[in-house]
Amino acid sequence: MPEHKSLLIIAVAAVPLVVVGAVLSILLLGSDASATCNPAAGSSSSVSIDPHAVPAGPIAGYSGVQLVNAAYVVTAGRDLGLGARDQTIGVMTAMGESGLTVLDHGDAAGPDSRGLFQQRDNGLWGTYADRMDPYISATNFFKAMMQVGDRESLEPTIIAQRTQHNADPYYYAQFWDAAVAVVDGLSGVSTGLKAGTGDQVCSGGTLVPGAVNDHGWATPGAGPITSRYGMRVDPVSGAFTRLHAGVDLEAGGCGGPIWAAHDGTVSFAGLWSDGGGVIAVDHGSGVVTRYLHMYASGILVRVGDHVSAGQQIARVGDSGNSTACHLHYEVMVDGKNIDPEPFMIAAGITLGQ
Amino acid sequence: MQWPTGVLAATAVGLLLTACSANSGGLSAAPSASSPSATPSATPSASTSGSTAMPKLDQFTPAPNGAVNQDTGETVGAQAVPTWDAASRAAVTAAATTVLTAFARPDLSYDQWWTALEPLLSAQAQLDYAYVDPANVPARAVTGAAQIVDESSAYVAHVQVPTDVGTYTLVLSRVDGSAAWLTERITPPAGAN
Repeated sequence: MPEHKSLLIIAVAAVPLVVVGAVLSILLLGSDASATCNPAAGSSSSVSIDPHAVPAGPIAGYSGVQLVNAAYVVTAGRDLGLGARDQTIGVMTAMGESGLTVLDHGDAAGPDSRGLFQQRDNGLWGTYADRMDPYISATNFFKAMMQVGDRESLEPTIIAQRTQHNADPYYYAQFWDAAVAVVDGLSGVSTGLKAGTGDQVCSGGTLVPGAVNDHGWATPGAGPITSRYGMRVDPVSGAFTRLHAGVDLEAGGCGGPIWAAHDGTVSFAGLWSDGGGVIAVDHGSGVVTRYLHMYASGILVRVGDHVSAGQQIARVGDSGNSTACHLHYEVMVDGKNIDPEPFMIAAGITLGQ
Repeated sequence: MQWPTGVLAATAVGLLLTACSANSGGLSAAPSASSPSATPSATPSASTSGSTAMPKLDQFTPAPNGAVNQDTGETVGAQAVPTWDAASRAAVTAAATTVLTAFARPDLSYDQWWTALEPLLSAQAQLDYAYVDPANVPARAVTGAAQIVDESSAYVAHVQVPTDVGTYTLVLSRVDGSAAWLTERITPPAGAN
């Protein structure tokens, strides 16, 4: 895929620049895979909906004046030059705050909250009339949202929460699918935004289920194997003290699917101290599998999630101690690594195929 | 209020700074010539035990204690393996009560509130909860005993804690058997957000 190749070039070029100055690396956040998995951020992906020509609905359970209000939100976003993903985040937020209804009341935590976005009477969101006006309140929401930096690398619910500062950062994700349906339905445009991604960095792209065998196991990534498990020479001491604690798989290269090897509970998901992405899945019986080198945007699960064998849990990346996109796959028994290849053969899976 | 806008940039710098480390992995054309275990040495049994479809585990040789995982820097054998026992359960319910008590204080200034809350959260949760305005937290008090509702992993606990606005559900995790429980997620009761 050409996008991946160009990203790799950017990433390689970035390395010497980072040594020169950390500031430059902030500009290079795009080397994360997120830039390719979302619609264009600006007006080129912007959608238009005429608030005066909105069908009655229902769409995803919303109808009548709710859909008109959604059209005002989308229009306010377009007028600020925002792309379809940002516009849809506005609709999602208004669904979560008010059900797309201009509320003339607040709630227990904010009795002074008003309107589509439940904006408070604290001077940040304009007059009472502003907060009760669908277009003006949406404009003020978007202006605040535009202060959230690097939105391409953040989940829609996190972008909404960093604008609204509410008490549950993951709250808005449950409204994302309906927001996508309303924006696509009213605009007549397929934005490319996918349901199920309100809590993920990548709003586009597709997830691919892996094949699961009769024992309930799946390969964690496609072959070929590029480096096997085993002891390695410590470059300083010359002794065999360093362990390549897993099997490296090409796994489709940058962005390729990573599958849970077996049913389990996600016990770690995030960045290791060296910046490398790590997911650990606890399968019980003392067995934990680990998946390394994803970018933050390529980690599709959170700690505590229950995953099933063959579920796509991540996208292949090149973070941490890695020189090219690949999957490093580990199997641990009672806290100690074992060679994943014979273990997976015993589970009916031949790695590398 | 001071929102930690530098956090993301710092993360990005960390990602890129480590990208040039040496590694025998990656997309070399052939498996590393330095690998002493180019072929699996054991002849594994294809049989599985019980209904869990788990291979028999005693046929595999664990990595030697003291070996250093070159991808994570961990030392094999250095981490205590967690189990669910009375001490673990007491620790996680205490941790859940402590974090929700610190969280449910909407009258505090942001700085006071965050100073108490931040060390109780996991690294990922610190990134996400840093942007909460405590004035928007609906709960004001923990009103009863915390209860573990999911023990499917000894590294993770789902814990319910009653408050004045209903029952919160928390997810806490620990990185090994001797590590502190840190909070990943604080989910309010439906309708209380």
